[in-house]
Amino acid sequence: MPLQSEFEELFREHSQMLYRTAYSLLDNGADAEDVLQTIFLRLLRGGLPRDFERNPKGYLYRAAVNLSLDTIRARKRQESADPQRFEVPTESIQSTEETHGRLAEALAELDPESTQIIVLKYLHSYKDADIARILGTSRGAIAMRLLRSRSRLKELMRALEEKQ
Amino acid sequence: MKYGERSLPAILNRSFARFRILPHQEVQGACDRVLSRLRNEVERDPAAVVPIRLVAPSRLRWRRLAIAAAAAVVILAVLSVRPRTGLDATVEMAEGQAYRTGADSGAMLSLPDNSRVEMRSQSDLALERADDGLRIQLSKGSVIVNAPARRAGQLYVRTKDLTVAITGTVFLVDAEEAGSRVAVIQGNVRVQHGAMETNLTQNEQLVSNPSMKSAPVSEEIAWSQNIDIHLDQLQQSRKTIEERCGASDMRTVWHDNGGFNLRLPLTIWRNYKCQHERDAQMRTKPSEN
Repeated sequence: MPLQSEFEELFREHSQMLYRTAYSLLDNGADAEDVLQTIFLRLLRGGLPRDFERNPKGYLYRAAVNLSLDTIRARKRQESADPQRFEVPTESIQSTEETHGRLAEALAELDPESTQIIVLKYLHSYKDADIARILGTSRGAIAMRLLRSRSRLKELMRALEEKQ
Repeated sequence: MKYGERSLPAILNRSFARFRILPHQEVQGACDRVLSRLRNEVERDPAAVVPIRLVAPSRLRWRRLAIAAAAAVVILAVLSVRPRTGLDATVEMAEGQAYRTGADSGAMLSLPDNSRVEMRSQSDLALERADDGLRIQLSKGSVIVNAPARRAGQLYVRTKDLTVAITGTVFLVDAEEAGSRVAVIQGNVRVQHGAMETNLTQNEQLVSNPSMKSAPVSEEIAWSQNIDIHLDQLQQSRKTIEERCGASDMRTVWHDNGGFNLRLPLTIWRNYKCQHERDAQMRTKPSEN
């Protein structure tokens, strides 16, 4: 039985944005593929939920961010269970990758809605009005949320830096 | 690395930059691999697949088109009497003209002296001639004014219950049902409310009705498209205040000459430690009006 043409159409329309979203949070292509596969497998087996019908792009995007954050949290749990495996070099170099790792960890501690907004703003370069459309809220609410999220994110990153 | 207000947007931009430029072939390749695995999944277990129907009913589309057409008629009616505004382009303000923003769009306006006026969505204002300069009459909504130091002529922002006289400064004015709010991001403004007049400096804000709630200035201006620049200005302002008066100690002060806890019409959130210094200045400097 071939994959339904509507399903393929849906996949082709959104897969690249979802993959980039997952990749930017996980910094790992294989994990990003897993996220993409999980999102569409759920739709394949469970059909389209009501939220999806109202706003397909928003639904899929939220799913990509939330699943990526779940993966980051799972990595962290694994890391604390087996600290040797993820030992950080003693002479730590402040690289972009390192900062991004810390940023991803901090984003996983933020509430998912805030992370969704931050990724749309700073990865996909959407304007506040476009973010509001995708997430189904007002531009004012996005601006306020963004301001508070950045403030919280700053605290989280400082705390992570001090811990390391 | 320090994660200040200033550096965080830069860190976020830099951090996500390399994912923005992921090669298209790499992304396409990954998506093709996933699609192929999904196809295999369907082949392997067709019974577990729930058929989908994408919702694009033509009736719904027609209804949306009808609503959009009706909205367009209303917008055209408004635009015929008011200049068109949009945040992407700066509109030069003209004396005697009225400006209005829609439900989900702000606007950036400019004055001949290079002052910039950012309008929030759902705001209404008009530019009028004052006795000694120009006046922005804000009847509804919010504006952030960025005015250079003035060489000639005054610039005012007036709401239904107060008037703000501008020197070189960046500040917010908000006209609400209950009253008005002024918050200074950088510099100073002079606010007149009936017979009362007060100077307001950076990071301070004032409301004309004590029942109006106040959030920090940074939250009041969160709607601005230039929020990063304004946060930067606020941080610089905070540093200046702390150098002059020590650590910031923002408190609610009912109007200056009323003392604490008197329900006078103006409520001011200001740096307590700087207040006495300012009061002394006010006593020695006669009003310019």
